[in-house]
Amino acid sequence: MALAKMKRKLNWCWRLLATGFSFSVFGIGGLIVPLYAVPWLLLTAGGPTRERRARWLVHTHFRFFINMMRALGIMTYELKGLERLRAPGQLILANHPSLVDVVLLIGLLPQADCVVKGGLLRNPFMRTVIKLAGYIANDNPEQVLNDARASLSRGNSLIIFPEGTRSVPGQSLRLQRGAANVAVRLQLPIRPVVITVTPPTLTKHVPWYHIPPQGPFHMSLRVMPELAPGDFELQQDVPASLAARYLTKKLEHYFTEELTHYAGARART
Amino acid sequence: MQTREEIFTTIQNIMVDMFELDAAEVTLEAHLYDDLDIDSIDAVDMVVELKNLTGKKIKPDDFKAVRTVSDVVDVVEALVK
Repeated sequence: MALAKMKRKLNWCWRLLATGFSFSVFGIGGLIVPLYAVPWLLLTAGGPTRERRARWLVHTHFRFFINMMRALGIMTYELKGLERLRAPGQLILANHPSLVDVVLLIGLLPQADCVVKGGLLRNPFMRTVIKLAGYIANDNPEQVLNDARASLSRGNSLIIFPEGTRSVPGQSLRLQRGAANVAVRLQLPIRPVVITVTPPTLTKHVPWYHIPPQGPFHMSLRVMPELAPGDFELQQDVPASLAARYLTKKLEHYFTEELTHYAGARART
Repeated sequence: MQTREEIFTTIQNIMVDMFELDAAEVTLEAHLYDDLDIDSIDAVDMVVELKNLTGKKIKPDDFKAVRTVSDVVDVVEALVK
């Protein structure tokens, strides 16, 4: 008994150290990677090739980071329906419970475009890489729509976190209208990705050293069947401004249902 | 649609139809972004709608400085005069 308790305590200490280490790697990586990546990108290619390489670079580093955290024993993950992400040109909408979900999702997709918080462009370290990768800033909804159109027409898949920022634990899911506007105005089906992190980790307002007491945190990422515009029973001939509002509500409902359903299924096992 | 009141009523109706708002919410003082949750995509839609209605061209620049419903009324009033 005492042994089991000590083992748990030791494991907790290890995970705390490993979490701190991971954070440092991410932070220092953010400083160091651009030092060699940016010159390489600028010198070796231009235009679409450079953009592709920049995305691949972000993808590779994120993938490494996820594998590192898993190897250190601070996280586990399960992926479902990944083959659904293979087709190009998809509009991927994911919920955003934690900092890690972005890293995991981009770590899975070598060539995805992504709508990122405009604030990140004011971060000098992130800015260059974000620009080179051609990610879209979410500052201006109209600009997002135009950039999304351009990106999808080039055959890229586009990731949007329709919450616009991380979810607030314990509060109901609130979506911004940008993602629905893209779907409605470009007449695109939606590929939902439902992500959970249990217990909640690296959420809003929680410092990194508040790690789960019992063991590694677990991420589940489920790629759901496509939602065609018709699936939402949106009335035809309503103006796009209204359709986007209806769709936003439907999506809020969809993600909430999926998350509740998943929480229920986990509680039963 | 000539007087300021007529213009306001017209704009109010457009907003109620397009943005699912209560007429009571759409006051002259209401702030488009903060109070009525109208974003830049909506603003573009509204400009198109106002163009159709007035038959006048609205320069996007005229709409840049618009913050409140009253500002929208000003823009349209200046156009139809």
